[in-house]
Amino acid sequence: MAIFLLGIVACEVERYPYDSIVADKLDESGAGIEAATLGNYAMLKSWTDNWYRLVEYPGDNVALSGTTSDALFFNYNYQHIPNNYRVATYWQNSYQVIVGTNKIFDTFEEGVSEENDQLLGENYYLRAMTYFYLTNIFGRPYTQNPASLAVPLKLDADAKVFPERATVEAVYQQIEADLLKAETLMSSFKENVYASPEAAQALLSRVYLYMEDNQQALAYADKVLASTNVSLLPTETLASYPTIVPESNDETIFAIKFVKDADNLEWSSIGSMFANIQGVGWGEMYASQPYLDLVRQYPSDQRNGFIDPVYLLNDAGEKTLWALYVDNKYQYEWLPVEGAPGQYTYTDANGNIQKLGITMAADDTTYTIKLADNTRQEVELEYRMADRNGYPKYYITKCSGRKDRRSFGHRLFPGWQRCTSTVPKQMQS
Amino acid sequence: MKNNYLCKRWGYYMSLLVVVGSLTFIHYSVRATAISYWQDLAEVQVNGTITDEANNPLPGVSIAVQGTTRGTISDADGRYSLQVPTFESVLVFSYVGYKRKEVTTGSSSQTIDVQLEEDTGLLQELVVTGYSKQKRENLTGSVATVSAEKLTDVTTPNVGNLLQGKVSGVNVTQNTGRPGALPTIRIRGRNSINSSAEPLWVVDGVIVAGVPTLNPQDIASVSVLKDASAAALYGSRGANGVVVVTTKAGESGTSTVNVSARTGVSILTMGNFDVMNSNQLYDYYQGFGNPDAIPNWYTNDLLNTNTDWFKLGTQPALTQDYNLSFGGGNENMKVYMAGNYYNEEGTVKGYDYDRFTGRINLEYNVNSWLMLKPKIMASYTSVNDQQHELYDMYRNLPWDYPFNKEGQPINPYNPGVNWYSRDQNNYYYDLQWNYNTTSELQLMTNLDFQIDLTKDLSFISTNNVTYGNKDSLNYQDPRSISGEADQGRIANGENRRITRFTNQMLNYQKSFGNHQINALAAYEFNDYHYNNVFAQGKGVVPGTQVLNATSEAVQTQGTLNEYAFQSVLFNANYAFAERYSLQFSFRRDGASRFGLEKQYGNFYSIGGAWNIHNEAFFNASAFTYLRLKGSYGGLGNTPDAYYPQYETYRLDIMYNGRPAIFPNTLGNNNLTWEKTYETNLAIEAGLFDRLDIIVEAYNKNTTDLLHYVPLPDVSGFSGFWDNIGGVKNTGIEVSLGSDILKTDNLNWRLDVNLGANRNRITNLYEGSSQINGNKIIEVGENVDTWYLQQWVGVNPADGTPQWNIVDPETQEVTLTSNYAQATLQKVGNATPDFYGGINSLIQYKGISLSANFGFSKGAQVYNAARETYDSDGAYPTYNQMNLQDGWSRWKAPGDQATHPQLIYGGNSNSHKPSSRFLEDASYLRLRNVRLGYALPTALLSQLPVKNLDIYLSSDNLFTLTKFSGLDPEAAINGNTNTLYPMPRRFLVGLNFSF
Repeated sequence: MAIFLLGIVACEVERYPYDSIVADKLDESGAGIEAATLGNYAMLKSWTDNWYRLVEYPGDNVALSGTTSDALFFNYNYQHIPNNYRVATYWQNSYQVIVGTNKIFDTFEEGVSEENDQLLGENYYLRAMTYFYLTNIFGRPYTQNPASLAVPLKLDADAKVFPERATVEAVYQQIEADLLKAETLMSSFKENVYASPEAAQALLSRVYLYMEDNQQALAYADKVLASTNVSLLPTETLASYPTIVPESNDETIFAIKFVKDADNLEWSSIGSMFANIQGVGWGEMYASQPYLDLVRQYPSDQRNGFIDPVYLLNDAGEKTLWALYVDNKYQYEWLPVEGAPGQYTYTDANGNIQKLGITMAADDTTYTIKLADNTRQEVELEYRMADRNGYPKYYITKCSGRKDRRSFGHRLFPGWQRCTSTVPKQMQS
Repeated sequence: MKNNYLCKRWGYYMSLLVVVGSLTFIHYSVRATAISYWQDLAEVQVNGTITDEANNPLPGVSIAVQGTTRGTISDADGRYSLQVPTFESVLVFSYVGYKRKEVTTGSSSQTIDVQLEEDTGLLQELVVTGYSKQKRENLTGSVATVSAEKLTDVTTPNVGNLLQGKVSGVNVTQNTGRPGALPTIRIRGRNSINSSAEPLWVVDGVIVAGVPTLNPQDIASVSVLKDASAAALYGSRGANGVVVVTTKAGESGTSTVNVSARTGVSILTMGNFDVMNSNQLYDYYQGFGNPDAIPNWYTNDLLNTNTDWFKLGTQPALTQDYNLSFGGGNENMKVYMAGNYYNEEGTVKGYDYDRFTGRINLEYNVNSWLMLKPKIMASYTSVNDQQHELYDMYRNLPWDYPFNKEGQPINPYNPGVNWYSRDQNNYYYDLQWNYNTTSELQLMTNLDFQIDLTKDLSFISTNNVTYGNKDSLNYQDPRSISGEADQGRIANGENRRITRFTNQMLNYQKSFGNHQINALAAYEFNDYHYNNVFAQGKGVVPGTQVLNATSEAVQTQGTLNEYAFQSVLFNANYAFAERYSLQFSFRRDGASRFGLEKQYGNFYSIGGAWNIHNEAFFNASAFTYLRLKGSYGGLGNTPDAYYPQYETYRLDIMYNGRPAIFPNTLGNNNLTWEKTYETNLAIEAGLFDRLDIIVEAYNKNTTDLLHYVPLPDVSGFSGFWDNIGGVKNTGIEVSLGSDILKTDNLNWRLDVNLGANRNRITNLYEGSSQINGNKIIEVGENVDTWYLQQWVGVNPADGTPQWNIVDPETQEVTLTSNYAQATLQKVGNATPDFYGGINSLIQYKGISLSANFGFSKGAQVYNAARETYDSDGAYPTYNQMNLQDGWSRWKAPGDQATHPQLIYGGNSNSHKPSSRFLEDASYLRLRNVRLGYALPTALLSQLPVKNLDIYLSSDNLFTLTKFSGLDPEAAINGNTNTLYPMPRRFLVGLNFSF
């Protein structure tokens, strides 16, 4: 029997994967620091999805038309649930990128070549950026209590080491150190879809701002503004910001790029919640009334261009007017408005035609109607719109690239994820 | 590759040599012992010829002189000669598969010719055990068989479905009523947490990848190998049990053409699930405790529309099954050839499953020592899928109607369209143009042959290549909503799977005197290769089907996976005097899924059986037979992952169009098999020639559990494969079969089988527990333990939902209406207390009535569908289910109700997962009932046919259950959401042969 078995043992049943490469064979393959760095950028693509939902939906800028079965509902309505997969996935993606950068720091030394140092610097930037958002989401603001707990500081690539939560201060110190290092290691601005000294400086400015070190914040902001690699867009182009590919957009300092068609997000893109464009997208979350009130305060406010209301046309193919308001049950109400400007009329609750009340002020005109209980209600004069669940469809196209993607790209998958939420333009990710 | 091939051959020749050597040794030493039997002095010479019923000589028959150690064996021509004492001796003639015969000798030399009758009794039945066949009388392991006749009642293209309710300890659940869908099969519970629990399939000696495509009517028998003794020969792949399928062979001396046809109609069944109509939903809205929140569109006008989405989307669907086969042959050649066409329409409109299968099985005796046994099977399956959206049929409101006045489908996204259902999806719109098709070709070719090296020793070679190719096409028209943005899109996938299997086996069989020996040794190699290519293009002219017709490429993908196994195996059975049987088996497996350190593993089993009824002392006439058997052995299981041993970087990512790598798995070079050690004890008895009883008990201890050990996310990894912990399954299986009535004209056979399995985690990684969805994995608990917030009903004061909070320190229990504060607790498990089947067959003259019931008792299932359809207002614009009997809605303070107050937008997360939606999924289902009539012989003789029978049959006629969802059977398997319920089916069929 023993001989019998021996005869067999010599045979090979080894098989190797094809979708991935065995670590031992990495060196032979020639894939090095560059491919690994690109891997970290690549992982940030999926990271953006939940990052965005976590930072934007709790804000007042958006209004959900009813409920949604996705866990993002609980980011929107503050009813925190312990098993929200969106939060869990964001946390997981963040640490994957962090460990991805750590692995590079463990493997590649500084000072070997300029290219290597540039790539190392990019990784320090990516790690700092990831920690910056992590601590802002899971920790208290720095100035409230730096000694309170933020997130674990994982600074190695050992899968069996699980650090405890570090203080907000410790995390900020690490972010600052990483960014300063990134700034020195990086020597060139490749394209704004890769990290650069300017990106590190911009983030440093933001970090110092959050730490209320305004001097430093100012200094680093000045450094960015002084750079010839980035410049503000002219006002008239600002509304078309989302339609410009990152590399052609001088105002973007750093963006995480999605390649048209290859990075196909469609229904899972962050813009899909905000609009249905050419049949793609949930289109369930709209610009909120407070946000509309704010940007409409000045008609020249270019952010109006990010809102794309879905107007309905009458049989003659024309838009018709509405008096739109939010009632005391927090529901939208609307009445058809007729007549020429200055002589608008509407039909009241009793079926009588009434004149629309007008108050002219220096910078604004307000309209009112009389309700059934004889009180006057301020209304918004708006074209008749499509609605969902009683919410007029104020599509937000800021995250959707072009409104008409036939001209260039492609509906909700615009070529890159484009949304800045509460982060200023300079931080575009 | 070349290296491997050479290596394989070398291994094969080596093993062949050694095995031939050792078996020759056994052969001669046994013969030497036999010779000594007749060296005693004797006074009378008896000789003669032994034949079978067809007067063919029977070689190898053992002839023993009762009460002595004398005996001999008949030679190749069936002749024997023997010295016996002059006084009246009793000669006992015995041979495998034939009835024993006793003849008393006279006082002088004589010739005694004996004709042996074939024994067709239960114990004499030859059972296919995978690598060999054995008489049931000698079985030591747990093997259940299902014969061809019992296999073809239910109309289905899958073999798995046909095992439902027919084998104790085998739990088959059909998850969907979609034509062609495969069921889930669990043999003796679940050993594993993370790796596969699917049984291994073996077809005509070939281990196949996944579930084989077979025409059920080509099957001669199915054996289910349940315990270690039976399955150990499949070593590292047998832990979940083995289903061994043998296809039909021709019979020599006959030639029969068999035609069978059946056709019928399927109708969708909805179980207890019932969604609201227009009026019911209107009244539901009236119940909202916060009417101010209801949108303004909620008016009487809604009642003008009452769309029954199910009525629109379902149909009585046609099923057709036609089979033509030929079986026959002569002494040298046996042929079985068959063709089958199966077509099934979905009860949900727009789905058509179509399959052709063909098979040729040949057996050709080239000469006295060489037999060729080639087999070819081909199947071509095509599916046209333009299926109506079940999801929307459940969820869309009865207040939306899919068509406009002109009868054209509405696009809900068009401005001005009032569409109330929340997903704004009118599937009719896109179904005007969009479709999916798949077509799959499968070829199974066997080049098998057998060489009889000596009378007792043969070399059996099994060599198979199975090729599968699947082509899928998805078409989205530029006019459709989904295709609009792309101006149409075509996605095309090509998948290819090739498995190779070779087994070179030496088989030794010998009977002499009271001894029977059956031994085999083999070398086996099996590999698997899968690759696919998937591409999409956009911008199409309506109606085109190929990527070339698209104007722009969108996406290309492709992958490739492989695995390989290499094994040697050995099995020996020894039986003595039809009283005692012993079995030993051993297998050594090498698998590509493990690191070099642990690439090989050994598996073995031992077993024994005792036929008490053959003992001289046993004289209980009530017993037709009485057997005891027991076995113990070890089996293995491999991980689902193909390359779990390696630390890898993924290559399937890119950034800005440039290739990128990222660490994705940690690897574990020490990873090895999950091992299951199983003890099996059984008692088999036949009583009064009427009743067959089998009771089996087993204990399966699984150690080195293959587990994907989760890591905290801060590690940067989700986890890694390791051998941790253990699971224990214990169970009992009972099969009862009775010929309740046995008369010339009236017969009634009733078979009942019952299985009960208990499952417990015995050991886990560092004793830690792990939350896995709505379940928990924890030492001491069932693998399928629910871990949910505990529901404690509705607060009578205000109609809010209530859950438990358990203080972790004091264990004090308080109530809360805040879902996020509620404590996760163990609230039951999904394992049935017992399950099984009842099969009944009543025959009166030519009329037969058969019924096949399946049942399951006590499984707790989480009815996830209720999160959506029983949401207390959380999803007011999804259609809701009507309250079941016994459910009540809170309306006013003081109400004792099962359901919280309706609140538009939801009542305090009452619809989130909790034990509220755990339900008892016990059921009794009549899987099949069939009324048949066979033409009597008198009539047949006047017709040019050998036999003719017609029948009416119904599948899934009724299900008794309290489960509120669509299908309790699918629910036990974890499928409770928008599933495709099992249809009820009525068929008429005809079989005849000539």
